[in-house]
Amino acid sequence: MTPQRYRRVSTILQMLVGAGCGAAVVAKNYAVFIIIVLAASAILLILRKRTEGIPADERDRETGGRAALVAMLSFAYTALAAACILFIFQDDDPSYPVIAATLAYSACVLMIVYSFIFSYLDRYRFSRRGWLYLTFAAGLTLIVVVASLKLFSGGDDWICRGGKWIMHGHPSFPAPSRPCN
Amino acid sequence: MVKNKIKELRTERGMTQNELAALCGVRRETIVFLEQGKYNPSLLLAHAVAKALGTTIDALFQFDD
Repeated sequence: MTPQRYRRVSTILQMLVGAGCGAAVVAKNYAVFIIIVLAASAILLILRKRTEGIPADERDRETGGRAALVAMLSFAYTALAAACILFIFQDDDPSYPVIAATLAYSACVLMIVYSFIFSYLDRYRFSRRGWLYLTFAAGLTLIVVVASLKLFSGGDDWICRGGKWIMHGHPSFPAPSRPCN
Repeated sequence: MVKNKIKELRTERGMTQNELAALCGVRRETIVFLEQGKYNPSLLLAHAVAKALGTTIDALFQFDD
């Protein structure tokens, strides 16, 4: 496989993973989500090993760094703008504040992770403290992710049962106004 | 940007961009950008290009001081 073909296949695969993961989340099937991500990673790894020539060089890595920064900032600003809009219209739908908070937190987590990785690569990459810093950053990220999942896992919700909305846990929003069939 | 003689020396040696890229361990597109003066290479890449063209970094790149 040529490097050009590898890049094309990789882009198509990333789009498919995005669509598949989105569908899996909507269907609340998180096992499928994980399987899709793992399968795509394995396919990309195999394809990369079978790629002849040089798939990426120093210019690609430099461009990749800039692209990552632009992508992160684009996502952060878009997510925060969307969160503000959803907070403004929170009276229209009880799920809006939850979505807005998820977007805002994900933007914050992304920026924190970026800052940690940047600091690591900038200061500690070549020092003995590098591993210590990386372990601390990974631990903190794990705690933030677990806390966020716990907070927004949907454990507290309204469940439709027997034509009535029944409280599951302690949802922070009132029962949905739509009919429960 | 730094001016360079990559294209000139490569043509003199009858080398294609693909061949030079393979010798330097980069993609052909990187050689294109280097020749057009749109990309400043790392010291390692500059050394690799100079070595592949049988010259020195000093002779290959001209800095406007």
